[in-house]
Amino acid sequence: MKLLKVLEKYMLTVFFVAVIFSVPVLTKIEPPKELSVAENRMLASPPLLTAENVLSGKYFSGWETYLSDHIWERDGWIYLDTKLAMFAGRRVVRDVVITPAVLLPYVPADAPDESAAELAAKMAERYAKLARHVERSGGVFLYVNVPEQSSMLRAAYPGGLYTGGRRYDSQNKAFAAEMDELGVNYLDMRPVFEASSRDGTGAEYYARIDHHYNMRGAYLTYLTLCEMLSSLGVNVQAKTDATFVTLPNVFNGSRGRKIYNLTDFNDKLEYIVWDSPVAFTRSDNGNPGAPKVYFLPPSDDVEVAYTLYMGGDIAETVIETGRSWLPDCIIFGDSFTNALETALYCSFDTTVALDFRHNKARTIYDYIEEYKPDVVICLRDDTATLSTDGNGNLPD
Amino acid sequence: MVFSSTVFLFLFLPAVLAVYFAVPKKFRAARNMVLLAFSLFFYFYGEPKAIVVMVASIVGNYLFALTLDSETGLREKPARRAMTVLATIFNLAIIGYFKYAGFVVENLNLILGGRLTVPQIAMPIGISFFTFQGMSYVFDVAKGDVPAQRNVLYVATYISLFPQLVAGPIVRYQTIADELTSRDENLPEFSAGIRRFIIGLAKKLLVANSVGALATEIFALPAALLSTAEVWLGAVAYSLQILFDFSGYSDMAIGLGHVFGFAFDENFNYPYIARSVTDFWRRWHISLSTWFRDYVYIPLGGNRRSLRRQIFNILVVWMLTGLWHGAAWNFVLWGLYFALLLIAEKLFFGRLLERLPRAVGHIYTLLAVVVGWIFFTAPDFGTAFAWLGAMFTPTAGVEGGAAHALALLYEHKAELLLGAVLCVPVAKKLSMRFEDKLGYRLVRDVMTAALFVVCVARVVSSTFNPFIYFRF
Repeated sequence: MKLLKVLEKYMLTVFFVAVIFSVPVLTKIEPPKELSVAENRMLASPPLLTAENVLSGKYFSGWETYLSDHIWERDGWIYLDTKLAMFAGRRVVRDVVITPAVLLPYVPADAPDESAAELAAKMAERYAKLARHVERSGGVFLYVNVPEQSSMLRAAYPGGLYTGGRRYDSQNKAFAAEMDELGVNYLDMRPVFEASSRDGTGAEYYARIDHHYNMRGAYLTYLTLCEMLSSLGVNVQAKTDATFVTLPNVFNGSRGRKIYNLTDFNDKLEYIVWDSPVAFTRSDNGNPGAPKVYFLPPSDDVEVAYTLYMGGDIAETVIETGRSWLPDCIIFGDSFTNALETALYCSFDTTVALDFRHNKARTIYDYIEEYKPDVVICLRDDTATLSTDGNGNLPD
Repeated sequence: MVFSSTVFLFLFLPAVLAVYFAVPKKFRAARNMVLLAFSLFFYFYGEPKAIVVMVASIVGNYLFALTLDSETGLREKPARRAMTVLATIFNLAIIGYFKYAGFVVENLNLILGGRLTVPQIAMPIGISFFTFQGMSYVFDVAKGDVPAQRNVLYVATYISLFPQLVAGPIVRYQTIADELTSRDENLPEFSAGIRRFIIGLAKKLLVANSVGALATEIFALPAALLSTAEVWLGAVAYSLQILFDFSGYSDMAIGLGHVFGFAFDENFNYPYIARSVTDFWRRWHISLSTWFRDYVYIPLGGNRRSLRRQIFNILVVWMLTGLWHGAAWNFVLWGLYFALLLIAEKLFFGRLLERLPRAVGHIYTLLAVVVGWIFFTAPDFGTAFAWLGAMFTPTAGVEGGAAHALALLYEHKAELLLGAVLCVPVAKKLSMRFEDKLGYRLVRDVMTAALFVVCVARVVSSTFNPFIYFRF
């Protein structure tokens, strides 16, 4: 009884004081980290002490961010908060919608984009200008629209939650109509995925825990665009001797980095082994690199991510197969191009893969001037169709 | 700096506790200086440039109070009155310049068709709170309720005391005048303060922020796209957010007060169980209501004058209450809306409400208050009336709007339910019944400690952390 009374008298105070005094000390002792793998972002740096920063309040707010980012056992605190949210029965945890089948991004608002028609006309005009330029230099331009995972699998959203469908459909419909009007070659992969899948949803072509399609989705895109290029008079043939190999490794998808690995999803990454492989050389940003398109993990117990394909986003990759009778190709776009490129090079002599999010010095016109390609492909996902950032930042 | 931040919890608070309690109790002045230094830094951290405004407010009110001291100050009644008016002008000039100048110029341009440049003045955080505290100090000295404080540093400590500096409660000088010079910091008070602080922190982080995110999400949608169900859900969520945001802050302030030996008055008393709007305003932001009652309503004549004058007094007080919350017409409308309800209760149905079943009073009050929050949170009149239109006429909004509301309701069920439970004094009654049982107290403290861990996890991982009353 006496012990209980002592406990009652001191417990809460001692606990509270111990926590608030020990956390800063432990934070100071813990070696600083630069990267949060779970959140896929760089952690904040300490703020710069200048009179201007102090007077504007930036210095102190910088400390707030820095301490939150580097607090002792930060991942542990976030795991706890995430677990409690799941325990409370939330389907939306850390801006990710958890469904039995897939992880999807949370969409707080969804309405048709009222400026879609105007923006779509402007974007389409830029692509039309590029297409005319490619044609003048003897090539063919093709725009490939690939549904993003949440767009393709929008039926998986729990009833009542917004999907973004209204917004993106209004944008893509307006854009497709403008491209058609201007006569730009346009391939929409949504109906292809729907028609090719068993249940009409296209689910087997998409990652469950990542915003990209999977290797099978990329391969189907490859087959379809080769077929379309062929119909446009390009001497290109798709390679069909593919065998899909499943990596046993844990796939750490991009959806909230799988909500801190607290979900039971067991998605796996696949890659292609060809019956008759095509030999090639590779250079990245002008530097010779290993002749590989799959960056396989050293062992089965290492986590893998979508960076398996082509090694992730790279400003400029050139793959040469030394088959001069085949056409040359330039492909540019966001990360969806990475998985596609692992097959695409097989059908071309030279394949130049560009990502203008990381390549600010040159434009697509510079590369066309340099390589005089037979084919120029722009591939974007349907949530980025009207985005003028990065790969949508075409010169007027 | 907000209390629900890592910097406050793990840098500021341990630092102030360590330095404060390192000074022996007998050196009261030194302990006060520690509090003052940390309080000024607390304000400087959030508003580096505005510290000058606060210091000016402290010095000005200190000097005015000295001249109005009943023992040593001015003797002549006209001189005292003139000095009180001057002190009022001084304080109103501070708040007027920083809070209302833009609003006044905007409206002058509108009325006179002028083209005066609207001044873009950054409003110092908490200016409405510390200015009102400064005024209450001068008024209380002028009335002879308390003697003027000779030590400017003590006045500075009173006005800048960090627990209640930026979001109240508005502490009257006479409440803590004695405690400034002699107070008893002890372990039971410290423990009680910590417990109260954690409960406030939990109210803020686990209820207010969660339902606040829901309200923010709904009201961020264009008004024309919202369905009846969504606006109601948004309004209810906002009503819970503002209660737990503000009462949570008040709990934290009162708790920290206990830690340092101060006993601040309560600021909330379960306002959503009120049976009338009159009752509601006796339970909501009590320190502001009593401030306006004592320093505006009663000096205007209060209830002692003719009915017409009483109505005028109520209208003035509530228009000012609205304006205190923000320099915008929707706040004025919000204040006048409550003035009309209070007048109606006073003249017509106040007595009737008392005779009707309690549920009727509760429903009426909740409805009136929730509608009031619509005026309060809407960015402009047009939006407020669009939301109200959607609330009271069946509106489908964008396709699936009702289903969207249901989905959001399902998502936030835990915090909405927790908020609803905390609106009624269940925990308070439990505490009163079992307070003398050691087992109860032990379980309560273990749960409070666990709650603190959960709060820290939320602080570290959350990005949505606004304090609504900081902007006043």
